[in-house]
Parts: sequence; C-alpha cells; structure tokens
Amino acid sequence: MVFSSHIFLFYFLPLFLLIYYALHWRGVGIAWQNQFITIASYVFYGWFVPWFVVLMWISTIMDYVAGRLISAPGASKFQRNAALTASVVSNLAILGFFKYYMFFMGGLNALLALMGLGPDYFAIMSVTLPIGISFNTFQTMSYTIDVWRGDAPPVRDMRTFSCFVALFPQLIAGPIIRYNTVAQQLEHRKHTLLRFSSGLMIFSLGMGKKILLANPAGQVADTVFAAQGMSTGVAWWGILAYTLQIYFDFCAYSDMAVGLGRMLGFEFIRNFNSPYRAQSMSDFWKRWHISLTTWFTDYLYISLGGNRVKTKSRLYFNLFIVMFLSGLWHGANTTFVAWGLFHAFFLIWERTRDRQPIYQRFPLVFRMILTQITVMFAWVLFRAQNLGQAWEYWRTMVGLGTPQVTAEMLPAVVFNPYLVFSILLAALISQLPWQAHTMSEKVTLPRMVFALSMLALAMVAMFTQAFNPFLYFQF
Amino acid sequence: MTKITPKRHSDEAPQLRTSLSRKALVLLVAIFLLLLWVPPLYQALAEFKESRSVQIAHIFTDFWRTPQQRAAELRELLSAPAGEYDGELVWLKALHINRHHLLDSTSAEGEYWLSLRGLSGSDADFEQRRSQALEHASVRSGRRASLYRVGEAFFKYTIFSSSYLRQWESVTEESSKFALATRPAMQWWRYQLFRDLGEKGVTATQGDWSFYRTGIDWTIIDPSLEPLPSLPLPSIWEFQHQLAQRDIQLLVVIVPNKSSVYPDYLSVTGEFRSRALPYLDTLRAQGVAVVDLFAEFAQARAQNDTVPLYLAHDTHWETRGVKIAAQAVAQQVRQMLPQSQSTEEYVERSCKVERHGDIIAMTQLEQASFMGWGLEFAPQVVECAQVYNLRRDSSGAVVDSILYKDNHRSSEILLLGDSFSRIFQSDAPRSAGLVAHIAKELQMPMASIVSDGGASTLVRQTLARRSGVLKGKKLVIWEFVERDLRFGAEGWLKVDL
Repeated sequence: MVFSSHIFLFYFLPLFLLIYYALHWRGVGIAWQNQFITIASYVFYGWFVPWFVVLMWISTIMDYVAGRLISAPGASKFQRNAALTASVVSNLAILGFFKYYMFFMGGLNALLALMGLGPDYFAIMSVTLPIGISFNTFQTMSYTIDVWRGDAPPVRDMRTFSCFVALFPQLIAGPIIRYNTVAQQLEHRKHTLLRFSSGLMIFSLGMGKKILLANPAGQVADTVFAAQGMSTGVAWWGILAYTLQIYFDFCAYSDMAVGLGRMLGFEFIRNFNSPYRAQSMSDFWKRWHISLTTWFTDYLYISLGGNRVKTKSRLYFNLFIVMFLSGLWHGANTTFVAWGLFHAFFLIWERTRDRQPIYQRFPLVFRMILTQITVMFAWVLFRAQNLGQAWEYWRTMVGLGTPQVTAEMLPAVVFNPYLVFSILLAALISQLPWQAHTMSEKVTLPRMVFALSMLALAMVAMFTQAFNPFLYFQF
Repeated sequence: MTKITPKRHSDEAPQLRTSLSRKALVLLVAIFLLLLWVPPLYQALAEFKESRSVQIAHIFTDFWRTPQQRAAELRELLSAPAGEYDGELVWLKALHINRHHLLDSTSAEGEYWLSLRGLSGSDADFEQRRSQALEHASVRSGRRASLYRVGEAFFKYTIFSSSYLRQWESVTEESSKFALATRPAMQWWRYQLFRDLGEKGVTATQGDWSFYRTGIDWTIIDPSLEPLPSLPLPSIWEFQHQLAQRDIQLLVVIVPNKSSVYPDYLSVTGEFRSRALPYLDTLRAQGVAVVDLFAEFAQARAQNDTVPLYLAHDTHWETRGVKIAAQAVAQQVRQMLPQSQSTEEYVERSCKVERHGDIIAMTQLEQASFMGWGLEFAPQVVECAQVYNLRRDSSGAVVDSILYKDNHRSSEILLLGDSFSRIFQSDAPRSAGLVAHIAKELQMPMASIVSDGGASTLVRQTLARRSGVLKGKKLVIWEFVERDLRFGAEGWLKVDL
C-alpha cells in the first residue's frame, strides 16, 4: 500500500486508527495493541504481493531466535557469535538473492559472453523484488547486532518483536529504525492528544509535499530522462526537477512515517535536515537519509575502525567501502555503484582537507550552490538507466550534447506554467531553514490550519494525478 | 550479567509543545479524521441513493459472488436464440462481463476466444458449438462445477491474489464518487491559473490549441533508452503475407500525430522529421504499399495554412485533413486496383457539428462546475462534409439520397482503422469521416472495422473472428496513428487470420 493512495488514505488509515484507539481506550494491554499493529502491518505489506508476508515471518522468526540464543543465560561466546553470524548471513542472503541475483547473473553472463561463451550462458530466472526489502533487512539486522553488542535488551515477547519488524509506518521506505531506539516505546508508550495532533500535522505536511511538489517534479524528470538530444537548459531543468523529486518524495514519506508513528505513540528518527542547504558533501551526508547514514556509521564504518585507524589511507579505504556499499544498497545497477563512488570521491577529498570543500573560503551562498551542483551531478548517475546515458547527460549539462529536433518539443511539456510553479516552489521550500519536522514540534493554530489545508488540497490534487510513484519503494 | 539500558525515547525525541487548548486540539483532530472519512462517506451515501451494493465490501464477497454472477450472466448471454446470435457481440459482452468481474482482458480473451470464435454466423452445428462454448467457459451448472469454481475463485478473487488486489483497488479508485465530483473543478482551476491540461494534454506555445501528451511522448521518448515493447514491422509483414495468401493486397496508412504536422505550435524551429518516417521507408523497401500522409499534410500546410488540418483541442483531424487523407488513399487504391470500377454515386453535403475535443474531455474540463459558477468550456464548431449515396431512376433523376453506409457484401475494400476512421464517421454528424470520403473519392462502397486506439492488434483480432468479412475483398487498407507504433493497445501481436 502506498501512503498517498486512495485505499490507504480513505480506508486503511481511518479504520486502523478507529480500531487501534478503541483498543487503547478499552484498556487493552500494550502487547495486544502491538499485536493489532502487526496484523494491520501484514495487510499493509501483503497488499503488494500477499505471499511476501511469509518472507517477513521467516525473517522475524529467524532474528527472534537469534536474539534469544545470543542473550540466553550462560550462552558461550561461540553460541553468541554463531547466532549473530547466522542472523546476519541469512538476512544478507535474502537481500542478496532478491535484490542482486539478477544483477550479478547478468554481469556474469556478460563476462562469459566476452570470453566467447555465448550471450546467455546461464539461464536467469526472474525474481520479483519484495518492496522495501533493503530497509527491512537492515532494520532486523540491527536488532541482533545490538543484542550481541549489549546495546539493547533481547525481546522476550514474540508479539513485540513482530511489531518491531512489521511496523507499517516505516516498513517500506524508512526511516530505518533501530531496535534500541524503540525498545522502550514498544512496551511503554504514551498516547496523548498533543502527540497525535503533532503526528497528524507532520503527516499532512508530508502528504502535501508528496502530491503537490514531488509528483509534478517527477513528471518533468521522467520526461527529460526519457529523451535524448535536449538542450543544456532543459537538461539542467530536468536534473533540478529530479533533485527536488527525490528529496520531496523521500522526505515526504519519512514525514508521513514519523507522523503516523506519533499518532501511535512512537517517535522515529528524523531522516532529513534540509540537505540542500548543505555547504559541503560531508555536510550533505549529515543531512540526507540520516537513518541510513547512522546505520552504516554504527554497524560498518565503526566496525572497520572508523576514524580511529592508524593510517590515512585506511581511513579513506573505510569511507570508500561505506559509500560503495551505500550505492549498492540503493539498487542492483552500476549506476548506483557509480553514484556511491562519486560521493566517496568527494568525501575522501574533503577528508584530505580537514572535512572542508575546496570552495570553503567562498561566501555561504556560493558554498551551498556549489555543493548543490555537485549533488545534482551525482543524481544524474542515480537517475540514469545506465552509465552511457549518465555520461551523455553530463555532456549535455556542460554544453557538449548533440541537440536533436525531436527534443525541441520538450520545453512545451516541461516548462508548462504549472510545473514551473511547482518546481520553483519546491526549490524555495527546500532552502527554508525550518521544515515540517521542526514545525510539528510546536502545535499552533496557524500551523495546524496550514497543515490541514495542505492535506485537503493534496487529496483533491491526488484525484487528478495518475502519476503517483514513491521512488524509494524500489530500494 | 550487566543490565542493559535501551536508548531512552527522550534522547532523540523532540519536546512537543502547543499553544492550543485541549478543546481546540480535539476539534482539529476531528477535522483531520473528517477529511479522511469524507470520500468513503460520500461514496456510501451515493451508493445507498443508487441502491447499489457497496463497492468497498466486494473484497469480502467477490470470491463467492464473482464466479456465480459471471456464470449466470454468461449462461444468459449464450442461451440467446440462434437467430439473434452475433458471435462478435457475444465475444464483446463476454469480455465486458469478465472486466466487470475483475478479470484482465488478456485472460478473458484467452478463456473465451477459443470457445466463442466459432460461434459467428448461422452454422448448422451451432448448437454443438454453443455447447462447447459453455463448457469452455465453465458456466455449466452443477454442484461439482460450482465447488470447483468457488475453490478456484478463493485464490483468484480474494486478498491472496496480487492481481485481484490491484484490480479491486483500481476499480475502487475509478468509481470514487468524491474523486469524480471534485476532479473537473480541480482541473478547471489548474487550467485557469496555469493553462495546464493535466497529465494527458499539452498546451500549444502558440495559438489556442492543445496536444495529446502521448503523441508528444512518441516523439520525445528515445527508442534507444526505452525500446518499443513489441515490434510493429514483423506484425505488418506477417499480416501482408496472410492477406497475400488470400489474393488480397495491403495498403498501410500511418496517420501523423497532430504534433508531427504542427511541431511549430510546440516551439520546434528546426526541420522536424517524424519518428514514423523510417517505418514508412522500411515498409516501402520491403514491398508494402504505403500512403505518406506526412508529405501530403506538409504540402497542404505549405499551400494554405489558414484552414487547419486538425481540431484545436482534439487529437484528431479536421474535415480538411480527412479529405486530403481520403484523396491520397484513393489515389493509391486506384493504382493498386486498376480494374475496379465505380459502382456507386456518392456526393457530399456540408453540415456543422460542435465538439469540445477529446483532450478537453480527457481532462474533464467540459464537465467542470464549481459552486454554481459558469465553468463551461466552449465547444468548437466544425464544418463537416457528410457523404450521401444517390439513387437514380432509369431516367437518371435522383430519387433518393441516403447517408453513406458500409457495405460489407459488395465492397472490394476493407478498412481497418482507429479513432481517426471513427471521427465524424460513426460520431456526429456521421458519414463524414475517412471511410465515407474514401468511398466518395472512389465512388465505390467500403467496409470497415474500427477500434479506438486498437488498430495495432485489436482490429486484426476482430478480423480474425470475422474472417468471413474478407470474402470478395481485394484490398485491405490498414490505418493507424503513428503514436500507436509505440503505444497501440495490446502492442503489435501476431494474429492468425
């Protein structure tokens, strides 16, 4: 189910809230409330492909058992390590099979073809990617790792753990929540009118961002990236649109997730902090997809030695590995790997300069603009279908493209006044220092009226949109 | 063992504050919940008023209801008296029944095609074939069949089926009364404020015209980045081969998109070349007869650009475009059928018709109303040329004139086409479209099979079901719009005639 869909908004959510609060007001225990959230989450997740719920059950049971083995009284070191290894390997195996099997087999076939062994040496079966598998896998892995490290207590109740794994508000596109951040909330959480109001405010603002800003920007981005031979101006317009689409799409989802979480008494991590106001690439990664960055930092970067390594080259190598895997995490395509390495290059470069970009001495506005331009060049890699298209797109952006007459029709489509208005508005909002998350911390009448108006407008606008994807679902 | 303290909620949680009273918060939460409940309540009220079953509840009943209803409706359909039987009509109705019951068209076709294709006409073995059809369609009554159907339906029409969920969701969204009620007003405001035609239309950069987005996409989308889902040329060659085996010739007519004829209305300044032209060249080189309407229309614009070839807010052509196309096609037909003689006398008479344009209809702008404000979108008045068939007595005096009608029996020419053959022909004012004007140019009767957006595959499938139509034919004109090379309904499937 998609948050910005008819079914979720007008049927699932109201019905869910009605039953959930009916249980709460009747004094039903928190474990049963969690049980209800879990069942609703299975419906939510199974809405895409019902049988993928079974995969979730397997993962839940596996990690629950691993957690119990790790934390069992008197468990030997071997038992603890073996249980952790089994959990991590099986989670990565599931992720690897569903997400990377076709990519690697395709690559292997291409390699064998170069050796003259035919174009399709191995028959590759088609594997359907379970929605949000990357988020889900990382989340459940964090539990066993935290228990193994002693950072979190093991779950005693299977219902509580199932709820943590399946929690629908952030199940599909994050933010990636860590067990130790919600462990207490799963057993004791407060349901207050203020918390609910704040939740509905940030949910409504997220909905507005998605429908009113991300979707129009996405229309422009999709149109431009499906074409070739466009002018330099159109290419920049196209990547600006994508830059805003991916931010508002993903940020909107995170806002809605945080809002839904608050409505249920949870508090999830903030996932974005005005990333397009970053002044360097290092700064960008402190503001973009914060839950993923902290996950990689805590579980990979620090495990590799982090900043406390003996040599600079080892530090750079750690950064390289983290960004390489971050790229691969996003998708099974060379474009995502290249995107990760592009960021790795700039992060390492800034690290050699004491985390400062080469344009550090420029005025603030220029630092922001130059960082933004670098990020946009990276987004080309992220959005392109293949490296060849990305290269051509870059060439067009710097004025080296070959214009085609067919692409002369693009401006009539992508500079439509409505789309121009939406994109410019989105660009302006992305630069504002206060965002939905900060707004929702104080519930005032003007803010609530604004948020509810956005929700109403987004609902009506949604009825006119056939184009309504959620980008991060594919990850 | 040391006691583990999980990270506290308050470590990262923001401190929430409010300046509002409890009552105000309750009111705002109520408004939020009301916003979420308005569409379903509106829907329930509308369905109650129309005495219809509640659409949302179908998810719990479809697994039982669908097979029963489908069986009953098909049984009724197939038990019509032989004399009233029309195989084509039955097939379409069966397809409709399946769509209504959330089966996709492909599976519906797969299920019913074999069973129903033999039912056209008044064959002696009609009853036997009908019996076979009933069996194939599994609509026979009986407890065993019913149990089997319900069991099968449990995995087809419940939440266990991903495709069922998608279709149920799609039907629920499409039938949302609240969405249907608010959409035109929203579109209208977008048009008033931004001249925006939504996702299906593009406003011209000069003149009060609009273009169909899919037509522009055909030009914009680079085939090297997004290859055609199925290739048109092999299907065209195969069709030509199938017809040649029956001594029938094929003439392919690719109708240019409006944006290909008027690229300058969309800011194109360079020398525009449609992506369809290489297809025409390849077809010619492979010995397939074609009509190049791109050149005809370019020439027509060069001669006189004051009378438009296409409608202002429609994807289709104006009367002038129809006539030029008919003349070009007729000229080619005369070369291909030099022996054929004129057998009828057709003349044209002008008339006027009003059209909002299908692009406006797609955006629902013509339905817009908002709190009683006048939001009507003015229709375009189009001058048409209706074709009449003259009947004379032995002295040569005209005794009767009737509107042009297809004549499947005596025509040597069959036209397969899309909405470009439908407009003004079966639409208002009738008999003023491409088919009638080709007939008038040739002074010969025509036969036609037309499917909106379905000229790539659906028309050939229809022809295959009605293969008797080819009897006595010497030429098939296959008309389709250029964007269908990529976007034709069902792609370019190979069809056995």
